[in-house]
Amino acid sequence: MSEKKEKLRIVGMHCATCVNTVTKSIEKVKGINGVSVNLATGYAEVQGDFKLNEVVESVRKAGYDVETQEIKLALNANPEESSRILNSVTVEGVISSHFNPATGVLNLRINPQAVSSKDLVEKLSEYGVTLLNNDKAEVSAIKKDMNSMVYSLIVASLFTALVLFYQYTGNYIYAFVFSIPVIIYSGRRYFKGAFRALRNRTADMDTLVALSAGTAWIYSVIDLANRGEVFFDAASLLVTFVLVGKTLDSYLRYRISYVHVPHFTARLSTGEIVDADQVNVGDIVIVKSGEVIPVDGVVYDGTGEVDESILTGESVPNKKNKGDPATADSYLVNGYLEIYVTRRGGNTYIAQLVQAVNDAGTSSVGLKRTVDRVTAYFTPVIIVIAALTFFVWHMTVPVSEALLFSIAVLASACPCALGLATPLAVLVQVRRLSNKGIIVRRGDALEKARHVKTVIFDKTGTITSGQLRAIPATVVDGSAIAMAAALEGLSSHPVARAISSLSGIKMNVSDFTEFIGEGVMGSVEGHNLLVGKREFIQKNCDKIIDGDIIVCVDGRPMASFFIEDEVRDGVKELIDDLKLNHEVLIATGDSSSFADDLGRNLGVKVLKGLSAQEKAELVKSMENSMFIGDGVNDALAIKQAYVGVSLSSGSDISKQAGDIIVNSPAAIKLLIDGSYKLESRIRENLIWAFGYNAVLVPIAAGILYPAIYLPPQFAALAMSLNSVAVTLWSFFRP
Amino acid sequence: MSKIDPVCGMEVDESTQHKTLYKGKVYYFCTANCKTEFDRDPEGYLKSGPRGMH
Repeated sequence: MSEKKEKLRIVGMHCATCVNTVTKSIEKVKGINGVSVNLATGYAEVQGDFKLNEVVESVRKAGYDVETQEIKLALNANPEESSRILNSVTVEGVISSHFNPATGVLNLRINPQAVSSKDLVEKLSEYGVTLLNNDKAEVSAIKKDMNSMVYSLIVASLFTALVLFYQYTGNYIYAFVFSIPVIIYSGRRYFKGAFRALRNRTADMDTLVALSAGTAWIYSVIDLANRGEVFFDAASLLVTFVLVGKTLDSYLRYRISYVHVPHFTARLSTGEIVDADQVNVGDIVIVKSGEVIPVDGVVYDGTGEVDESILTGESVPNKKNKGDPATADSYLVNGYLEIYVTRRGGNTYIAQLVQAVNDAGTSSVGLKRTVDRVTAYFTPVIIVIAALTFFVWHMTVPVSEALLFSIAVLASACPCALGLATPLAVLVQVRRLSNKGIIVRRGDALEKARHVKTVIFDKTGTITSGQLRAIPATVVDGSAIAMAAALEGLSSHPVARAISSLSGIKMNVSDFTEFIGEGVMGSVEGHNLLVGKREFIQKNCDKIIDGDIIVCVDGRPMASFFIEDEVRDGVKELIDDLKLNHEVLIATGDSSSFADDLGRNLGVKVLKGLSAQEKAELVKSMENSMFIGDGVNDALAIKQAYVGVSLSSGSDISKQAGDIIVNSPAAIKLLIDGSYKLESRIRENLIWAFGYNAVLVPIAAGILYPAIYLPPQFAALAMSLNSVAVTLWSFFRP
Repeated sequence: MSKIDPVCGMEVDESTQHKTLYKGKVYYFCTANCKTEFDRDPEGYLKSGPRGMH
C-alpha cells in the first residue's frame, strides 16, 4: 500500500473536545501521517498508509460514528476466486468486504465520500455483477444464475446424446456438428471464466474445465480433418457432467445455505387479510389461536400463550397480556391477541435475524485465508501434473491415449471444494447456533470464541435479572423514605423504580432533576432532597451513612438503602464451568455491597463502580477478552472486546453492539462449544476436499491402469460431485 | 437557557443530559467526555476555568 488521502464524514461531533477526541482516535491508527478534523463541516481528512476499517473502528470506539454505506453485489464467480475478488475491491473507500462463495454475494461497506457503488460495479464487471438493492433482488440474482445453468445443462444433455449416437455409429462429422452447441453454448461459462482467470494471471476450476474440454475438442477437430481418432463424446460428456454436478451443487447451496425471510399474511381489525408487508405501523392486527404472529408489536388487547422459540430457543410458551411485546414468526399456541404494529416486513426482529445469519456466512475466518493462499497454487500444480502425465504416457502409448490421461487429470481436480470447505462450515455453525437463539453476526468472532482467555460479565441485567429490590439500611427519619419514593417515582431508572415501590404516599414534588448514573434531586413537600449513589452524596451532603443509595434531606443524610438483585438461572453453573479454563470477572457500574456479595457467592472477582469508559478500558487491557453485556448500555466495552457479546432484548439487532447476540448468559457455553465445533468441521471439510483430490488425480493420471481406468468424462463427473459431497457433508452431518 | 461547560468553555443548553451536581451547584457539559474530565478534577476546573481543548 502507499500513501493516500481520504475524506470521512464523522457523525456525532458537538464541540472542540469532540474534535480532539476524534483526532486522537484516528492518530492512534497504524500508518496515519496526518489528520484534520473540521467541526463545522463534520469531515475528517486522513492521510497516510492506513487501513480504512481500522480508522472507522477507532472512531467508533471513541464513541463517534463514521458515515458508511452498505452495498451488496451478486457475482458469477467460483468459490476459489474469493481472495481475488476481495483483492480487487481493496481500493480506496472500501472499509470492509466479505464474499460468500456459497451464494456468490459480495457485501461491501464503503465510505460514500471516496467511492460509489457505480465505481465498484465497473471494477467487477468481468464477473457479470448485479447491484442488489434488497434481499428479494439477492434471491432473484441467485435464481437467475441457477436458471441459466439449468438451460445450459438441458442443451448439453440433448446435444450430447446426439453426439454419442453419431460418434458410436461412426458418423464423426455429425458428432462434430452436434458437439458445437455443447462446447460453445453450454461450456461458455467455463471458457469465459478461464479467460478471466488468464487476464488476472491466475488459474482456477474454469481453467481446468476449459483446458480439458477444449483440448479434447480441438484435438478431435484436427484429427477429424486428418482422419485420425476423435473424442467428441468425451469432450461433450465432460462439459455435461461438470454441469450436472455444478447445477446440483448450486441448487443445494441455494436451497439450504440461504435462509429465507418467512413470508406472512396479516388479519387487520377490519377482518381483511393482507400481505404482512402491506400493514402499517400503528395498525391493529388480529391473531387467533394456532396462528403465527405476522408483525412485531405490542399486545393491544386479549391474552394468549406464545411459543417464542424463534427468539429465545426455548419452546415453553410465554403468557402474553396487554402491553407485552410480540414478535413476528412466534406462534400463538392458544388464546386471542390484538397486536399494535410497531415493526413490519424487513424491519421485524426475525427479518433482521435472517439477514444477520446470511451475512455472517460471508465473513472470512482466519483459516479460510490460509486455504485461499493454498488454492492459488493448486491449479498450476494440476496443470503441471497433467503435462507430466502426457509426457510419461507418451513414451508407451499413442499420442491420443496419452492425451486422454492428461485430460482426465485436468478434469478430475477440484479446487472448488477447497474454496467451499471453510465458508460452508461457518454457514452451518452460524445457522445451528441461530436455532438455539444465538445470533452470530461475524463468522470470525465465532472462530475467535475458543481462543478467549478472560470472560467478563456485566452485572445488572446480564447475570442478574435486573429486577432490583431496595432494602432500607439506616433510617434516621422514616418520612425520608416516603419522600425518596415520591421523588424517584419521576425516574425510570431500575434503582429508582425499586425505591419508588417502597411507598405510595402522594407528595408534592417539584424541580425534579436527574443526574444520569449518579442520582436525582428535587423539592419534596418544601424540602430539598437528594437521592443517589454514595459518591454523589459525598460530593453534595454534609455527612455520609452506610448504604448503597443515600437520601439526603436539606443537606443531611436521613435514610439509606441496600440494593439487591436476583441471579439468573444457570449463571452459577455456567461460571463454575467457565472457571475451569478461563479467568472470569464481573464488571459493574453498581458500587453497592450487593455486588460484593454476588461475587463471593459466585466465587468471582467483582470490579465495581466502573463507568462505561472504565469498563471498556478494563476489557481492552485483558488478553483475548470476551465481554458479555447489554447491547446498548455496554456498547463501548462490547466493541473493545476480542469477542463482544450482547444480551438480546428482542429489540433492533442493527442497533445493538456485539459480534454475537445471545438470549441468556447460559448460552455462552453453547457459543464456546460451537466455536470448537466450527474449527473441527473446517478441518474435516478440508481433509475431505484435499483427500478427494489426492485420490482422484493419481487415478485419473493412470497410476492404476489397466486395473482401473478413469475416462475424462467420468473424472469430470467425480470432480463436480466433490463440491456436492462437501455441501451435503456440511449440512447433514449430525 | 444556556450555560458554560466548565471544561471546554462551550455554551451548553440546560436541557442536556450531561450534567452533575457538585457542592450543591449544577454544572452542564457538552459531552460525556467533558463530564468525565470534570469528575476527575472538579476543583481544578472550578479554580482555573475552562481549558478549552484538552
